[in-house]
Amino acid sequence: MASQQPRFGVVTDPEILKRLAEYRGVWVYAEVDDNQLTNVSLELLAAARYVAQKTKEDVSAVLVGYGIERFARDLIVHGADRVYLIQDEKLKLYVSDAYTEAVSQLVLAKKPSIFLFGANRNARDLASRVAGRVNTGLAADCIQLEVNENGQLEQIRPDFGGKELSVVLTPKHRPQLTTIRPGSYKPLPADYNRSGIVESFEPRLAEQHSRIKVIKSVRERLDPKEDLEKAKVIVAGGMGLRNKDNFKLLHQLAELFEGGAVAGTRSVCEKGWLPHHLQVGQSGKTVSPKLYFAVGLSGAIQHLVGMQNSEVIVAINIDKEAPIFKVCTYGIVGDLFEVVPLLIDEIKRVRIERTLTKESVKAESAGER
Amino acid sequence: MGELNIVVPIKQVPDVSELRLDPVTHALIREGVPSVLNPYDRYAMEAAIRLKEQFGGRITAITMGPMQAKKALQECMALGADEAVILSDRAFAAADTWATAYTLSVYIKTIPYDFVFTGLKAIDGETGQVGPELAEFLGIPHITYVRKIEVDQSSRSVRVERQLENGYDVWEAPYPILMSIAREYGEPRLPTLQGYIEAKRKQVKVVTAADLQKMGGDPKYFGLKGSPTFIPKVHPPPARPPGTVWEGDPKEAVRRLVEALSEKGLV
Repeated sequence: MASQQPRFGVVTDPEILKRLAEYRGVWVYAEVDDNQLTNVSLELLAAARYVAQKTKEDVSAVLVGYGIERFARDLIVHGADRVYLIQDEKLKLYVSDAYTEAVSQLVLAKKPSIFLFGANRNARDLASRVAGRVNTGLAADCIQLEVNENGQLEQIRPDFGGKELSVVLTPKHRPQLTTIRPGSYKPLPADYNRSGIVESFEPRLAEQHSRIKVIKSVRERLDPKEDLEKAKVIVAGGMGLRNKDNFKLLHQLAELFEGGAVAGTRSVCEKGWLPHHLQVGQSGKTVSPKLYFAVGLSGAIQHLVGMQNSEVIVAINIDKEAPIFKVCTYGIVGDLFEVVPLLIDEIKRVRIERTLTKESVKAESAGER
Repeated sequence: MGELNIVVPIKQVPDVSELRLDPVTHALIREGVPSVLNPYDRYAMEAAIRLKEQFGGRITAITMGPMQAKKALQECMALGADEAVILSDRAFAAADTWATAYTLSVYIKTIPYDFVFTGLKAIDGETGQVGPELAEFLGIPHITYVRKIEVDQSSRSVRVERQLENGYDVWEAPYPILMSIAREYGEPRLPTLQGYIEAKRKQVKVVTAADLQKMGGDPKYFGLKGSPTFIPKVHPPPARPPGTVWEGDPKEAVRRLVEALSEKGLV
């Protein structure tokens, strides 16, 4: 990692400044996988709008594939001012060489200032190779973007499993390429009054640009109950659960909430108590639900980096020294096998009470009539 | 059917499990932390060894870093690397992924290779970018997240499976090619004592910036000054405002918790 001498980050050479000024616009890579736009594509648009409002630029989405025009409208209603549509039969499914060439040709032709990609596997694969092709810097796995007083993009990322945060700048190269961890931003609500331009771009893909052939592409769609990135409430368990069977308890709690899902720490998933796609943390998913229950998990930094953007965090742990109590909104020090059943009962009781109160209010007002 | 030449770029990294935060400043304490071979690179070595076992060939392990990184290369030789090369020079210091990939490519271009195998990422920087960037500078295709490799020597091509978050792909490509090897490829073996004894007899080749320049490398792309990205500041993660924690009677604690959640409209 670079040393801490800020002078390197400030560009004063007029020649370089002039060259940098030729690059305008905030782009996002709109990824189609399994015949649908990925969640992170819409999250990137939210990040891009935030940045574009500071740099006073517009937002473009780069949509790559074949027979995918139908997604352009989704991108516009979620924040894109323009959609670049790159279609070619060779781009029907993601493949590193043809996609790199097509996207790089567009970059070299249109010169964006900023280009955001998801930090999921295929998009970061593409971003890395594009950075090599167009010779620019790429900051990986960022969780937050800011614009500094010099108009440079501050790309903020966790290092060493979240033990520290680095601010990455790309001072003299354009575009400033970034991959953003899924779950770091929330998509903007769809605005059907928004309008935008759809512009087609035809890449020239020679034989040498598509040496790799896709033989097969197998995808499994997630059960909505297991889609952690979309879940509104997550009940996560750690080693305190003691065995696979006890996760039933967490399911009972999660089922009380619409859009509730169960997740776990790395240890839990490695033990096989939960499948790997339900792992939250550095080597798993980054999530930001409205409500996150951390049950019987200590809060290792690698876990915290994946859930600390949750709006409300509730910690339940027997060890009052557990680090999770330092980040929680509410915490209960106690035995989860006692606390969670009580919690389930209390939520049910409060809800019944609330319904009864409403009904009695209705009954009273009906009586007055 | 010829033997295969395989290059494995590796990295020496601080042992993350040994990293601690300063309790007062919350800054990372780097002093005295032991260095190890990046755990993800073991999968790349494993893939190289299996191909060598199947087809015969030579494995070259290569790294860029301070001279102490020789230790990680010795481990690779104990595992079965035939040669080891360290690119070491103050001019290479503080390189980002782009400059690292460029520097490695200058040397790798001078040796014969059919395959370049990397780990998915390093546990310190965790970018996973050096592999694809290196392939770009070498002018060869790359495939990431590889869990299975079938080599067809007659057509000089591979058929591989790539592990994704929501499934997998099967791709076919000609080699020479660069691949990053996923955990699903298979458990990497550990070096044996016999391996370490044999490794002692082998030399690590040291390559400096001046050497790379003779090979056609452009020094303006080495190290910090060759890096497009720059890190002006590093800081500890922000602390959340302290929360409310209840101890004692669990019934009372649960009642208060649900009351608080109700006020926020969450239950």
